[in-house]
Amino acid sequence: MTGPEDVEHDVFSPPAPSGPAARAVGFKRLLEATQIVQWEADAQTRDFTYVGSQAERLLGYPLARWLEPAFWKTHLHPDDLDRVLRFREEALREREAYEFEYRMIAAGGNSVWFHDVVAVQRLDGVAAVIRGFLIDVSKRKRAEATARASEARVRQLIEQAPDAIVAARANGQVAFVNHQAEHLFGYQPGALVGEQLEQVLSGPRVKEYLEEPGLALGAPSVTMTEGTVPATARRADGRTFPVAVNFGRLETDEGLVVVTTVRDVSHQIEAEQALRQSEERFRIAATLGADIIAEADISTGGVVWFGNVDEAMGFARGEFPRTLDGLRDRGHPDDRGRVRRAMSRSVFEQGGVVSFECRLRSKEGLYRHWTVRAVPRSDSDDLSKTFVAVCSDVTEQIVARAEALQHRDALAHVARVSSLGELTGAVAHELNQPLAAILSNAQAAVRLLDRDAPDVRQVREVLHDIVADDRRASAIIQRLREMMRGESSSRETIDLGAVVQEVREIMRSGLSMRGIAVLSEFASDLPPVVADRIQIQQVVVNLVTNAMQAMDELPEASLTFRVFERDDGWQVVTVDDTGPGISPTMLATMFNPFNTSREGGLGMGLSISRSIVEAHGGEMQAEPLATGGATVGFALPPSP
Amino acid sequence: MTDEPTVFVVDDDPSVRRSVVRLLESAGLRVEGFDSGEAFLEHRRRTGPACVVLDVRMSGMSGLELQRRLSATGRPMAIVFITGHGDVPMSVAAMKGGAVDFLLKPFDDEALLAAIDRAIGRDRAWLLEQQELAVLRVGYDRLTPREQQVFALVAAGLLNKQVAAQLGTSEKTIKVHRARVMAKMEALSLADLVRHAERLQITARHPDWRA
Repeated sequence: MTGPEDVEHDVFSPPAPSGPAARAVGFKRLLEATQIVQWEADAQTRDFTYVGSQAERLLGYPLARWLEPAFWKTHLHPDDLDRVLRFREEALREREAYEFEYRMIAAGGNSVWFHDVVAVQRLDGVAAVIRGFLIDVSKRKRAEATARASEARVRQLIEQAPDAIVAARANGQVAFVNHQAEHLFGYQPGALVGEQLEQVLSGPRVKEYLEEPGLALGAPSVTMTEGTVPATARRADGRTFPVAVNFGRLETDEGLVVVTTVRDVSHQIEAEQALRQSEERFRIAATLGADIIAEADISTGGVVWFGNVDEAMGFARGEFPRTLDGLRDRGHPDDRGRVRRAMSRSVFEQGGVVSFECRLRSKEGLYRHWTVRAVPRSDSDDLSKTFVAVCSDVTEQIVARAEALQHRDALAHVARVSSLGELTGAVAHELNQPLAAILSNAQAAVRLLDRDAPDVRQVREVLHDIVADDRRASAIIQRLREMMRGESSSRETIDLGAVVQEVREIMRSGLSMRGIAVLSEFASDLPPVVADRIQIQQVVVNLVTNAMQAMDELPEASLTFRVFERDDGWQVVTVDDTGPGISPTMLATMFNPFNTSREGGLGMGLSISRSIVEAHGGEMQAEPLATGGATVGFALPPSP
Repeated sequence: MTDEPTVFVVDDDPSVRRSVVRLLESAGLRVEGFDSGEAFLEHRRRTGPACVVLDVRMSGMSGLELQRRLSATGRPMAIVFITGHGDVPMSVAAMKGGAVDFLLKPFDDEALLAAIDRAIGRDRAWLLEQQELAVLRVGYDRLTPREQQVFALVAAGLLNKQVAAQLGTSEKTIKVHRARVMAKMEALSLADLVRHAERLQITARHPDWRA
């Protein structure tokens, strides 16, 4: 083995100012000034016989180490070893010159990339000496590696992006896409790559971007446009839809790539349109006065009105209070506590919709009824300070409701009167009985007195009867007057049994005229109930009238009044008949208004009865009897 | 048979019943009061002229029902209806059933007494009719079967020779039968005999109708 100096001297002749020797010395110095290492090795042992002095600097090993046997082989990067050795053996057999790149492990443990340019000198066709230059290319290799890693990162980033991304080369050809893009445009995986970007995206800015690829930057990077631009996307099936796109430039080792981020905005546009329409509808509704919207700020006390609240309350534009204090002043004093409680409930029970009714004084001083549904603004912070309230003026409805109640009373009165109309015969008969007795008695008395020897005792007896019958007539008229009176409900403590008995007495002649036998089963010692006596009597009259009509023309008819107490303490009044009973269809509708099985009937009787009974907190009941006929009645809850 | 009329008052209202009974008694009538149709029907009545003052509406048997029942018996009775409230169908039914009058309560004593008077009169006439009919029946029962045949045919308007042809005998024989019939039935003329036949409800088939 020879030292490097010897090799150096063997290879390069002593320097000379000109001529081949001097040129060799000049090149040697040039080489030594660069990072290029010249070397010579035995082609058979593959060991270095000469290495340029720069080698020391490149790997950190002294030159003597380079010349140790198998230095090169043992200092190759393990990952490159097989590839490099295989390549060199092959090249030594077949080539005069070759170059390849590999890593060597430096003294510091780091690896250094070399580009090795080799010339083979042969003796009798067999490689004898190889010489070459080692060039440190680590910097370039690192840059390449960085570039590759960057592109992979970008691809990964693109794949993970929530938006669809299409990357195209400067010529408009799609380089790569993420699966969101494939999904958005309706392409099979990979089908979009190689297509023209304009096939899926069109718009003025798209073309602009492709035609102005911009500056290529030194390092791979992505620069994005500021903001998005609208464009039209076209799916594989030809359908188009609106999108918003962002353009970016990605510098890769393959050249400039235009990265296009595509967002489907059709839903957004629809939503915006819907919102605009909804706002428009809301504005129209508010203008029409259907509802008034208020936004109240609890902390400042300010109220913003949407909708024509001024007109609704009789004020000139802008005059109705715009503060909570102002509203409080216009509110009904009786409502203030309730409204305050409702609002504070909403504050402390987060997010709850609160609704209440209140009365607000209009310009002319009349209270108008409002229903208010308020909700804390969802976009405000923990302690809601802002409420949005929908306010409806329900004055008309409330007036209508009151009128309906009055109307119901009037209806009940009409039904009462018409029932009495139906009962005129019975009542007239009832009244004419005592009148007939009075007249006959009086005329008999006259005759008795006309006799020669009047029997005074007998005449006194007659007069007593006259007085009794007169009282009886008067009592009938009194009862009649009470039933005819269209007065509103007045509750009192009543004995249900006694009330039913009175009705029975009134109806007795009507029933007997129709040949209907009257039976009674009254429980004794029932506690009193609180009810409107006349209304309850009206219900019983209706029940009897119905039973009577059900048994019209029947040879064997009987009617049973029952008053008893149910297990739960409710008191029940029923009227049982021996009529044809109740069919299931009838059972379902018999308490509805204008439902009548009778020609010329109004069909209000049982409906009114139900209204009355329900107004008493009671319930109507009806069922067919096993023995034929029906039992219809009502139950009233016990007095509190 | 006494000629003193009786007025039956049937009304379930005790005060009305008592006052009417009292009124009629004060007018000198013999009166009996009943509180229901059933009670009245069960009562054994005397045979003299009578009438009923009857309330239409009663619990149990109604006045109209009592009227029907009475007319079904062999002793129909003149009825004066009284009612607290009458309607047209009710009064029509009552009058069709043979009621003498239909009075609305309260009624004047004169009106009631006049109606009762008419009713008693009608009942007297009915009783007289029944008496005459009884006499006629006695006479008719005395006729031989042949005489009854001749009676029926003559009353039907057949001439003697037609009767003879009908019965297959001579006109002369018929004349003899006819004279006996006239005598037994106490008929003064052919018209009288025809009237008797009608009252006895005796009919004969006209020969032309014979099949």
